[in-house]
Amino acid sequence: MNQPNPTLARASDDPSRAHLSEPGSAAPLGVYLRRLWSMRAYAISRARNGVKALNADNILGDLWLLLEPALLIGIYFLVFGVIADVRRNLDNFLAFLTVGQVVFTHSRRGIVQAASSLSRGAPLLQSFAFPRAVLPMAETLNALFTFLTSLVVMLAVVLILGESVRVGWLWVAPLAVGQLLMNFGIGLLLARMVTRFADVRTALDYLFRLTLYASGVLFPIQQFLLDSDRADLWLRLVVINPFYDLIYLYRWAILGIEPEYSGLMLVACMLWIVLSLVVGMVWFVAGERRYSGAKTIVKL
Amino acid sequence: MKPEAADSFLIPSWLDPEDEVAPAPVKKAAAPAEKAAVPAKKPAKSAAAPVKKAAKNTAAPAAVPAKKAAKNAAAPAAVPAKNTVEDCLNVPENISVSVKNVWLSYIVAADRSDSVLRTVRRGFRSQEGRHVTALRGVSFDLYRGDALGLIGHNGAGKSTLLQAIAGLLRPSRGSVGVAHQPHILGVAAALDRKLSGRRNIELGCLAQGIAPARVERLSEAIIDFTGLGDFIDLPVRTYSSGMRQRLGFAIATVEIPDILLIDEALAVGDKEFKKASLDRLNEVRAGAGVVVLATHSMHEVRRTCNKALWLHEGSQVRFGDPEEVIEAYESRENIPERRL
Repeated sequence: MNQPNPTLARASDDPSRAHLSEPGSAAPLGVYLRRLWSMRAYAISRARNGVKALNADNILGDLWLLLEPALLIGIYFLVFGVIADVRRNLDNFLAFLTVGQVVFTHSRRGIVQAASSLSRGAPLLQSFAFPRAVLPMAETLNALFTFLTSLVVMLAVVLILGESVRVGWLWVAPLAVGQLLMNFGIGLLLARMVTRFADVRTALDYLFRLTLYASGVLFPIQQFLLDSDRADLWLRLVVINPFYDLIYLYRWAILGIEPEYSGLMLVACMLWIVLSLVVGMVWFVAGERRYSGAKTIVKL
Repeated sequence: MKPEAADSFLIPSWLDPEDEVAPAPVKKAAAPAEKAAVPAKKPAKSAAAPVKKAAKNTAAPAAVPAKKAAKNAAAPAAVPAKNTVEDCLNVPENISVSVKNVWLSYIVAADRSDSVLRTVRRGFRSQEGRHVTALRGVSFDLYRGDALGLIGHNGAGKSTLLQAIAGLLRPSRGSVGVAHQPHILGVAAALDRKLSGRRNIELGCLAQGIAPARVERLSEAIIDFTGLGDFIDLPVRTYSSGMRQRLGFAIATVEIPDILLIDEALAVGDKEFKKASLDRLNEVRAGAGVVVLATHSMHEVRRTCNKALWLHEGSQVRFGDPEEVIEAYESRENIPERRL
């Protein structure tokens, strides 16, 4: 029932009405991407204002953007450094933990916000005809901006913990861009699903909880896996997880920790970025006319 | 609901899709022909009477040359058929909005949550909801310079029709064609209440695709237009509803759009603002644009529109001269029984 009814005359069938076209934001992929790109100023402005509004009601305001990651890291100090005193055979476990947590939070925020952007942006969808992918784009940018402030805190903490400034820190920039693109791709994919099945949004919280443990954020998975019988196989399997790869690549850049299979990680990461971006975009654009805001449209 | 359901709806004779497609051309004379002819005089009164019959005679399919239709219509009014303004304007090339037999249905989720057992029993499919057919075969054409007033009770489908014209909702059947992407103006719903008026203006302009370099220049003009004064730097949540609507109106009409859809009464704000917003509407029409106004104020329709459409439970009851449509609406005559 998704095909247009052939018995119905389209406005464009009549040559004198050739100047009329269907309203709305749906367009072929090429045109769509160009329009999306032309809306980047809006997406950036929306993201920035979103970050500002986040703490607008707090007296400390934007200071919270720095306080939040600092407090989080402080808690880890307390729990893992002082109370549990877990070092897990790592030179600088707390630095290791800090990088993992901040990087993972970037992806979790970006993807979850992008996934719910269409349902939360219903009033916007009912007022403006911009390409709908602008909303997930703004949300992933929003997460990037918060990540950038956390990054400052993270680097400061890492220095306090006795690391030194490295040339490798320059790698953080391309890594952040790659992470942004992957968040956007996965976010687009999920955003369409959430408009159809709101349940996906609820399930996401638990998926990310699982991913947190599977991505070696809190403890080095490699240490466990190396002890097992078939360490080689397990290590290769775990590399499929793009979040694991990203986090380790960041750690490699910032702390100089060289993981096993680092080449494989880089390749897997790139593949994930391209794959999620292409699949996410194509799948999202194909459903462009369904994102109408509140109502579920059923064709008769 | 089975997909075939729509076909089983009987289309009542008064709703024949071809009927009343062609607009009453007589009105055109009152509409501004050139950009210069700005002050849209109250178009209603003078030419109202003769139109009655004319609208029926023009029930020709759109394929028939409009000239012929105009001739038929003009005859009883004793207006020379050739070389009149409407003769030049009411050609298909000047159609800005074409709505053809548009049906629109959706399912709204019922206001209850199922027990776990029920959820399992319905096989995890979507919750059953109430099936709503918001539009039932609406058809009309709007030409450059037209202003259409949408009238009808709450829930008649006015907002849905606006959203279908804007392309935000897709018709289940039928088609909508537009010459330009319409701008829709809601009840200031898209404003971010946490942000200041100034920031909302910036965001609203960018959301319409206005280049960032121009936004700053435009925003001063918008602030002037809203007359919000010092409030402009306070969060929108501190605004009164009238102030919010003024801000929303100012943002949506910052660039004179070719097709402007308004989903609210303009009867907000003080006299001055009312006049200013009326001027904006006339600017749109003078620039050969089209205005569609959903409203409950008959006064507003009389004052601003040269055409009117009465919707009742999604069906098109009457389309044509505002005086005539309003008269019918207010006397509540021929409210059709809905047949399923």
